[in-house]
Amino acid sequence: MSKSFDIMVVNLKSFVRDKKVLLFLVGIPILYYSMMGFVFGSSSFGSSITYNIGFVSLEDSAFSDENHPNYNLSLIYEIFDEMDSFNVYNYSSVEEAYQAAKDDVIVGYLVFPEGFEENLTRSAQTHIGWYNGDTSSHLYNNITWFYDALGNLRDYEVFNISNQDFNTVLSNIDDTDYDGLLYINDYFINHTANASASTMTYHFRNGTARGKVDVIKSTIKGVAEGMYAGSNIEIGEVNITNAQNFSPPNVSIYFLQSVSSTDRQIITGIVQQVITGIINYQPSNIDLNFETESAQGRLVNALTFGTPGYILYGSMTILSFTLVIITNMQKEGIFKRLSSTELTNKEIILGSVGANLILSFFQTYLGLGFLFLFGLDPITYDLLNGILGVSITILLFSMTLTSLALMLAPVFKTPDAAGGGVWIVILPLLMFSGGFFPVEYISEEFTQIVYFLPTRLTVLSFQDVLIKGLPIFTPSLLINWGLQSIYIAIFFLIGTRMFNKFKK
Amino acid sequence: MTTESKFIKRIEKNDFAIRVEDLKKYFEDVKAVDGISFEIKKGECFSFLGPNGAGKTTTINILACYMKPTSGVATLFDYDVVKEPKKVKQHIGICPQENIFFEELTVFENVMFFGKMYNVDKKELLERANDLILKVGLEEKRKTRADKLSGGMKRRLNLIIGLVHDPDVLFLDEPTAGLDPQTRRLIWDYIRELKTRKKTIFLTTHYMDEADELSDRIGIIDYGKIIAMDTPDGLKATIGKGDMLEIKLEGKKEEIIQKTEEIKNLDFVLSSYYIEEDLITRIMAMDGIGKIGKIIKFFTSVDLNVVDVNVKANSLENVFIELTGRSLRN
Repeated sequence: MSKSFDIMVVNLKSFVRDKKVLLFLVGIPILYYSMMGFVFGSSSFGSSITYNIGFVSLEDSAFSDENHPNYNLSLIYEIFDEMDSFNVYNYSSVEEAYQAAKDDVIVGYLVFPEGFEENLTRSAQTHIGWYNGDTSSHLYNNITWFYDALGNLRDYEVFNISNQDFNTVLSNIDDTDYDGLLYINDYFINHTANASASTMTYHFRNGTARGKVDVIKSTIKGVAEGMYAGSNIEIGEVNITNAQNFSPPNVSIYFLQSVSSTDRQIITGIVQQVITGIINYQPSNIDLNFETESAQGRLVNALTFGTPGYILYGSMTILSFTLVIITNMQKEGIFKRLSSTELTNKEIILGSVGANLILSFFQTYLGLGFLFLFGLDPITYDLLNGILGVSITILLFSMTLTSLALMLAPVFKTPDAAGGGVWIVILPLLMFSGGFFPVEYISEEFTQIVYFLPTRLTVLSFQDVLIKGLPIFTPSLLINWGLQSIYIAIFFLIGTRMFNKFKK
Repeated sequence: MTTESKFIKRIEKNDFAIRVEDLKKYFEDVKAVDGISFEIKKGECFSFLGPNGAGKTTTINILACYMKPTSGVATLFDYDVVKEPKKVKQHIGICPQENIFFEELTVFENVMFFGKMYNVDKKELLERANDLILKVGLEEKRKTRADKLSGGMKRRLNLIIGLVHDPDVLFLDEPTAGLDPQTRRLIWDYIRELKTRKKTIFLTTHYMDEADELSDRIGIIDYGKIIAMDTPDGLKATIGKGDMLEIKLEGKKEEIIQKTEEIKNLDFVLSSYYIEEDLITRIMAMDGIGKIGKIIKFFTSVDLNVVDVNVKANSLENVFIELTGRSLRN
């Protein structure tokens, strides 16, 4: 055992004192991250992904707005269903959709609340309180024409409040369902027959979208000009600062914690564009409120989501160094010389495992420390479960790498071949781990195949511990660790035999 | 009875540290070692002298349990190197031909590391490491990384690593190859000191002077076979008191070969032969230096021009050349 310790110390000193190895440790990761960022940061990659999303409509009454068939949720569902970007699953309740997300059937789900369609219909309409403050008159023109014409417009309802005190209505507008108040200024009708401007003022609720105010104003002006040919119509505006705007129809998008922020942004962006496009097909400028929610707990930030990949990459470089050290020891005859001592193969391997474990733990916890400085905010079951979960995962991964190095050393034979050739092994193991891009969206079959990669098992374990906040006795976590342990046993069995042969 | 005391008894009982009988090692078509037999007494310094590829290192590799022989028997204190490698390894130290140690470790760290691998007691190891480093003149470099040492210093480190566990038998494979004269002398002195401590030394070298200076007995090996084995003086005596002359002649090749044969008829010429690859005629003659004039006259009388004459006094190299027909450095 003490000889293993000495071998471990020698390995660690070789790591630390070799400047080339240190350069390799720092330089290659930077190059690799840049490469990954360049390849996977491009939008063309994201567009080829198909997301599985859930569709939950809580509407309990039949659709009845004949004027706006595009407000029908069934139609919205059908359009989503026909899109290449989505596979849409219909669920009748939030609970059902949540379960499907937990079962990895969908990555998130849209929830349309009860009254959504009715809210759309109301949002499409403009209710105006009409106050006639004009005391003048004209021989031919009549203010009633304007009032009637405005009221006859589709999606406009005009309520005459001329018999009430305007200021009282204005200060109590929140008690009404008027979107705004139209005040007809004095001499409006009189000026329609001369060059003077006929003026009116539109008072709108605070927070009304600019676009909507402009549409309403131009509609009112257009109607007035139509009624009074040759007139000079002017319309002013006033923001009723103490009035609350109506809540726009709300759509909630729920995601599991394990969905990356990039995916969340892509999905939310497409959903917003599509739904807004559908309901505003006949221009009505309805603003929708999109809320991104977490299906359970808070959502992790992009840095936290990427952390399993970063840890994986850090540890993965150790495979390269171990291979170079083993092949170099063989090349320089160290193994031959050691074979004249009383050192056993078991002690050499144990020493390598120990050195790799220390390096992996050092890299992992140092890396996590740095990431904390930059905003890492993991979701762990509790601190103990978090530390134990990370430690067990990194322990198993480190042992997998050591056993893999024992297998690969006889394949590459020389340090030069090992240093370069190992990337043929490392790159696919990293790329298909799911730590750098979402492999689950490529295809179901592919996801099932890559699940059996040791790196994928490691990323999934890290996600369970650091993102999903699962305790260490969770079945999925135990299964991943169990599979990883089987790999270690098989790799060590084969690797030890190959290494013994190689050493001779 | 402890393992150590059993071993001491075994040593006392045996006069020979190493016994080799009809040892063979074949690599496909190459006969690296081809049926050699020899014995080395306890405390003896035995050298294997031979050119590169003669089979010296292969023999050491078999005796040090690095490789198994194709056939034959080799024992170290009656422990069979094939059947009892663990016991053999406990009593041998090796200084391989190449410098083998951890480049990133310091001199002291390397010696300590290998000592630990040999299970040397910690306190004893510390004393021994300091002593060895001092003796080979590496004291000032004890904290220097091995990769920063000069070639000579590396050889010295390579040597003491093989000695850190105070082995009974020491295999030194070309210990001074490529070194400057000063470092060679330093290593020779240390080997002499080991001899005074009754260590059994198996030395391989292709330096004649090294074998001559250090060895009690020398085995000359070529093409995997031992072609002569004796004390340095005994070997020199096998070729008598003659001197070796190497003569470069100018003329037709057939003529040169014929006259090289004919010169054997002169009464002071012991042997002569033409070496085609070097284009020289080699003559072993009694009082060769004094007879140079007669020899030149013989060749010029038959219309062959003597271009160059080189005289070599009686030495191990002459022995080797006489036995193998070629120079050691070939």
